[in-house]
Amino acid sequence: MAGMGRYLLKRGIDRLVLILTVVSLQFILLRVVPVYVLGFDPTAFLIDPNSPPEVANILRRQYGIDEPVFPHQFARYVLSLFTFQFGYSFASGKPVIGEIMDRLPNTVALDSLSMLSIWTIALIAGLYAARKRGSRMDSGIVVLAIWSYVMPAWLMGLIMLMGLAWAPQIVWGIKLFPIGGTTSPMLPPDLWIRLADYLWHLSLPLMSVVIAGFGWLTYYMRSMTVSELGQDYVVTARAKGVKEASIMRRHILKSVSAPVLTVLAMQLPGLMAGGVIFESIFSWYGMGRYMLQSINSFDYPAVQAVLFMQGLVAAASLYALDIAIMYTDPRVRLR
Amino acid sequence: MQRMLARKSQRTGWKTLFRRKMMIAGMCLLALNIVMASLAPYLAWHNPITDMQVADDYAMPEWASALPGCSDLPRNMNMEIRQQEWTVSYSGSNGKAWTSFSRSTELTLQYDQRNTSGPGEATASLTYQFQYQYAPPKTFVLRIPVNITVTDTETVAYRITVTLRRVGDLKGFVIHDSFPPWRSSNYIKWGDLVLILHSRNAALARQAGINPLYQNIATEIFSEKSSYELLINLFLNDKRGAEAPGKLEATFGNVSFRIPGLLYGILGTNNFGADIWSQLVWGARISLIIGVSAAILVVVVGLLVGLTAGYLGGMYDQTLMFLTDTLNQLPHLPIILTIMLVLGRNIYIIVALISILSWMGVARQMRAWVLSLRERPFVEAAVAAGGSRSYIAFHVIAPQLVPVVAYYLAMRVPNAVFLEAGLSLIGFGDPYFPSWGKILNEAYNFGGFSKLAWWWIAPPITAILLLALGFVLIGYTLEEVFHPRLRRR
Repeated sequence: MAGMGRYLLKRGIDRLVLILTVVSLQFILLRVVPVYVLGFDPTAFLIDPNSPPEVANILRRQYGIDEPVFPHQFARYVLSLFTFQFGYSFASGKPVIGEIMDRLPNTVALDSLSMLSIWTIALIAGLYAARKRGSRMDSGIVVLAIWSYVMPAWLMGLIMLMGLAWAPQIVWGIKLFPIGGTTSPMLPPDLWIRLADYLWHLSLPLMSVVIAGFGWLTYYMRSMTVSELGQDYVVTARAKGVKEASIMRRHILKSVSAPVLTVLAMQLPGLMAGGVIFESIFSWYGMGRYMLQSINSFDYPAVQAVLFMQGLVAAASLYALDIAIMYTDPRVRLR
Repeated sequence: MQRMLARKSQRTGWKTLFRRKMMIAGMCLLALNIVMASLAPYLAWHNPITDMQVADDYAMPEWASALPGCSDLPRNMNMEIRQQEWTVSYSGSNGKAWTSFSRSTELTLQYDQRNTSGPGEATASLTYQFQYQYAPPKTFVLRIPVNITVTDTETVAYRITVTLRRVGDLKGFVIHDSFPPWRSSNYIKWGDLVLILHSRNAALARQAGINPLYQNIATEIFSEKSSYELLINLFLNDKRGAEAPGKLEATFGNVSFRIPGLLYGILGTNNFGADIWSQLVWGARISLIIGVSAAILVVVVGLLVGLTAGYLGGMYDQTLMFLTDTLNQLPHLPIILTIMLVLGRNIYIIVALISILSWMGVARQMRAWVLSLRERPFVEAAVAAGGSRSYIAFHVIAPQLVPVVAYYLAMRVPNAVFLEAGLSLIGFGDPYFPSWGKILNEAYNFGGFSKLAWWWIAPPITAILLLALGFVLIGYTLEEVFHPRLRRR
């Protein structure tokens, strides 16, 4: 059990370093480079150029730019990020934290549902292909998996948007899938109708992410299972007369899930960050699209808040995966 | 001995490599892209960035005329009406005061007040007949270079009208009328007034008596396949006649009349009327350059990091791998966007960012390979023979990694191409480079979807996928040949 504690502590430090890397990167990019390298004076945008220098100095003091960059400004920056004081958006004038909280549930819904579906599909298809390896079904799954691994989610999204949303609507006048957005306007206040509408809007982005994302995990699952199936303990279990399904469930799944979870941990940040492109394609009211919008409108407070939140969510989900790995992989506990 | 065996197996591997079906298919796709990229200036006859309005907006490809209902869509019609081709006629009470003469490319109509008998009206008409044999067009553009010079006549008011009508139809559509009349005064030269009459101009539609919200003026005018005539009338109202002798000269250059087609080229046009085929061909060059250079950078960095970490081990290994993992778990796309927010949208920055943020996977795999290679007897032999550390790393271990390097070179190209295209799609590409992502960005933002412009959206998607497929097929075959454990039974 001491091993578990040490493992969790070590991983926690790793994830903390990840967040600190994101924070210092964004501090350098958004605070140091524009002002001290490219030479933009942030007060110049706010005051009349003819006003006396005292006004600029007051403003500088107010914003804390007159202090040294490191450690004063950096410490203030980190502290206010970790206490979720993100300031006010340049674009809307509202607190950034409120804007993020409006959008976070949508992103979390999309990401978690897609992770769940990818995981389920990869588990079923990978194990099935490995069991029936060499068959036509197996090669079909492998080809599909490679194709899905190559295809990025946004490209799949474009194709589906064209084929399943725009084309039916224009050619036949059928609203098969929405062409964008998160909810329909003017819905009755019935919870179930709202939920159904939300899921209807969710389906197209979800499908594109899942179709584009299941391949890598399926392929990995299959090759891991194939190599496990050749192990001696499987032969022993077969000789004992254990049923094939039971071997799969009790033995193979247990030994395969640890490396597969590790691979998932490697892929997770990429999957979540890809949201910027496909959320803006589907006009999904989420964090990725907010990031893009705030970058396009030079909304610095929003950009740094979203970047920080994404780093935070990535670190938190990675830590959750670490805990899951700890329970599936006994080596971690003994280390 | 081991090393020789390894070398031999590698050599036979290379030999059988090019006999595999997937490799041949991948190589064919790659060759197709390379041919397109290298011959881009010859295959494409338009500049992909600057050339616009080569045909009408959203023009379908030429071969789409085989589709039902598209066979007689208008093709490009460019009429350059020279001075000999006009039919000139005069009318009005002072009509005999008109004379006409032509210089090199100009037709001059001269009204001389000395030839008049008194106050009166005079009209000069230029007529040109042409055939129109397609379905109704969406646009036309008429450019009339006209220069009116007035000498010593304070009392002549003049007025130009331009009419388009079917031959036999007396009324037609008056598409331009310079009413209220231009007043003449002494010694005024009007300069070269190029009268541009574009059918999208709402004033022109109002002049022709058409509501542009509900009707398209070009469609209304050219509603039938028949012969049409273009009529330019110059009306004069002379108040004093010969009492005040003066001259009015109207000089017309070559009038160009253009009806942009709705069928054009190999892949049609986009919303600006720019040729999509040219953009696609040039995009192959950009995408291939970006993909290959980013892949080379990624593999070089990955190889160096992997070799250092795997061979030196210890502190180096731990530090480098920690760095690799941390970089790998950063949210890449938001960071790329943030950096581009600060540094600008530039193709070199894109390539650099793509390679900086995607070498980590390669480095991890390389390290694993080096770790396994390090324990092999031939490395031990090299150590025993007194090889230095850098010699062993670069001359003993690195050559063994050639197939792995080739595999990653092939497999990293699609990622870089996709990332660049995705960035361009959301508007973060370099606006001066016609990449495939830029075509998709324009299609997404400017009505490619709402008009179901398949000729605009399908080509870049297909091209990106084919390029990626080529490299993936090559990479997959390399993996199958050189890592037999993954070979399918």
